[in-house]
Amino acid sequence: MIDIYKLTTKTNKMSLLYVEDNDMVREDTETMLDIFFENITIAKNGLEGLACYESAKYDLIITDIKMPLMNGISMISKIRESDKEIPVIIISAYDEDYNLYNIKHLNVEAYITKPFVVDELIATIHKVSS
Amino acid sequence: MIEDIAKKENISIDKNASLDDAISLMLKNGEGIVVFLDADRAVGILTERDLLLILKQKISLNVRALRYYKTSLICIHLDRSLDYALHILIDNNIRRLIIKDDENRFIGILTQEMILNYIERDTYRIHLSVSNIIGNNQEVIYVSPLESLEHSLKIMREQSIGSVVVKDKNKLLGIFTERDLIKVINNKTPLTTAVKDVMSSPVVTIDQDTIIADATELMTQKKIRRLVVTDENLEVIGIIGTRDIMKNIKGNYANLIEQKLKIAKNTLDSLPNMVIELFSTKSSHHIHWLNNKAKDIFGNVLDDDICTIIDKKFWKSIVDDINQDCYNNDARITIKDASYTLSISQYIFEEYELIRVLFVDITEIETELAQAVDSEQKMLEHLMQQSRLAQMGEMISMIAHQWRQPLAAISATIGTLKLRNMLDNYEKDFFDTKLDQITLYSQYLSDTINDFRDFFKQDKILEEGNFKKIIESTTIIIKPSLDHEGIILTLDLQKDIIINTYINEFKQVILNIIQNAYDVLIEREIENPAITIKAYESASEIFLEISDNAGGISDEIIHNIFKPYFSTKEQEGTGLGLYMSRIIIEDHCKGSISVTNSALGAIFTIKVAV
Repeated sequence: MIDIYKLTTKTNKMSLLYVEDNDMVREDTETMLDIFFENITIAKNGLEGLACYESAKYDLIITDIKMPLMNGISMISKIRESDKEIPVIIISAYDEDYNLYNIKHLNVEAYITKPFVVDELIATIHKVSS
Repeated sequence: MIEDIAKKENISIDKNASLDDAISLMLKNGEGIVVFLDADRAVGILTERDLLLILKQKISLNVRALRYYKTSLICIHLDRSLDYALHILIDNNIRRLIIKDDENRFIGILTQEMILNYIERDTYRIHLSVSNIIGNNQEVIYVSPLESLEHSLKIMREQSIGSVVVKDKNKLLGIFTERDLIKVINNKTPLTTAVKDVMSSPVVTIDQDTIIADATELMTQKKIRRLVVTDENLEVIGIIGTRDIMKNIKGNYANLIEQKLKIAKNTLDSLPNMVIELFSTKSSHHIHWLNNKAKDIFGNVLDDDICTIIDKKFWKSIVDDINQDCYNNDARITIKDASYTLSISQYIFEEYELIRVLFVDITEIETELAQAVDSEQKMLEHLMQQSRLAQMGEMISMIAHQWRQPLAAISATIGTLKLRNMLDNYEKDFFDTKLDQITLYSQYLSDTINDFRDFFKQDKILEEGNFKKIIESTTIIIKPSLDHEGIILTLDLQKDIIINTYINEFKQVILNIIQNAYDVLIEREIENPAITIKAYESASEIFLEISDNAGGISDEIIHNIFKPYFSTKEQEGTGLGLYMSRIIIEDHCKGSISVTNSALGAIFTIKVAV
């Protein structure tokens, strides 16, 4: 059983890069992530996300896959070229099997499909934070 | 009018009269015919030609005539023209007509002779002489003066001729005709009598160079129907009768009819199709000839108006078309469970016209056609169903796109509430706001379902709709899918265009074209993919253009894309989408659909009448 008080105390000190193109999803998800993270940077596509990554330091990246200009996979691949360590969580509706196979080498912490169950996210964030 | 020259006196007799009385009357009237009446309707005729048979059978003259008279009468109405009567006489190869009034009452008879006597001298062809018209006359049959009456009659019967010339060596003694036959019977002359004792003598001869008008006058004068024609050496070269002259009055009319129509009529008679010829006046079209097949079907309708066998309105519409020169031989009619098209030819003469109607039996073709149409219809329905199923499949993926994001938003909101709950952070207003938000999202999902369901409702009737709204409500459905792939959709829609169409079918066509553009933009991985929809109208047409920037359709296949089962999508395509779009636009919406390539990509253009 995860102690949510302990977890949020821990995650509140972490900085998050959250990349999502859909306004509605992004806003609602951000409200939820606010409970965990005080410091959240928002990017609306892969290209913006990459720019944010290059200009600041983050403890965690949460990203969608299917986005205009640059998708989530390309963005992570770019980041992985220089940073093998930063934990990445994918929250996406893009759930075809071949994608799971394609992202194996990207070493992501979790692949959470939309719509998601919050317990899965809690478990993943817990794992990352410890 | 024929009523003026028809003869009634001493022509008719009660239907129960004896042969004896009938023959006496025939002798008296000098017309070679007796008409039998039932009350005042003609029910039978006896002619001098019939007497040949009566004589042969040695029938007692005391018996009632009704056993021997002919009951199939050729009657015409009293207000017909002389021309008309002439046609009937010649075309049906008969010598006399019975005239009746509106109530079918017997008015009188009209014979060839009466017409000849009536016609003015100058209606004959002045330059035409007797020799000009006896060319195709049959050979003169001679008998010797001592030949028995019985044998002479036998010759007449067998040769089917109305007279024999009595000749001794080279001397013409007389002529024995059907007219003499009446006297023979009336006087009960024994058949063993020599022909010289009953013949008409002397023979009235005429030079072959006599003009026709004079020959007619001579016949009228002598009250005879035949003249023996001789050459300059007084050699007999033929016999000329009223019938021969009849055929030559009014110029070469009869020759024309004989040579052209008669031959045609023999052919027409052997046709398996019905043929009817009409004599037409300004107000009516009377049947004046019909072939054997037509007689089988319609019975004895000679002289009846065409409208007794064909619906009046139907016939009128045909006549109107004929008069406007736009009849296409395609009028359809059903008679006794058989279907026909009427093929009509018209022969216009100076004072009258003939119309020939050919009934082309299309029953079999029509049945086959109906079956073909039926199976084609079923095929089309089947294809339509297949196409709809395919489109529904595509729409399910559109629904998935439509729903994913709101569902993700709902799950995120629920996650937020759950986390707050775990943290005992119950802020009432916050909870209310978030719960309302979830309700809103649910409503959105429900609306989406309705949109899709409406989309597949079958159109039963034409509806008026705002063209802009129709297009917008269609694009709403696919917009999330386009957004998902980063495809920019631009609408350039002229306001206030009203269209009268099967709205849902029309929407399906629009969606189908957008879906195709979407597929090809993704397949070709086009940068900055875009679809543009443009709607505008001219005075008579509404235009809808759907274009993309996917590079266009190759020349090899552009002509095939509207054909059934043609698809460029390897596995998923049914090849029916554009085919059904074409069917919907062309057959249902009475418009047109076409495709061209621009520098950027394909442009589909739909045109429908305002």
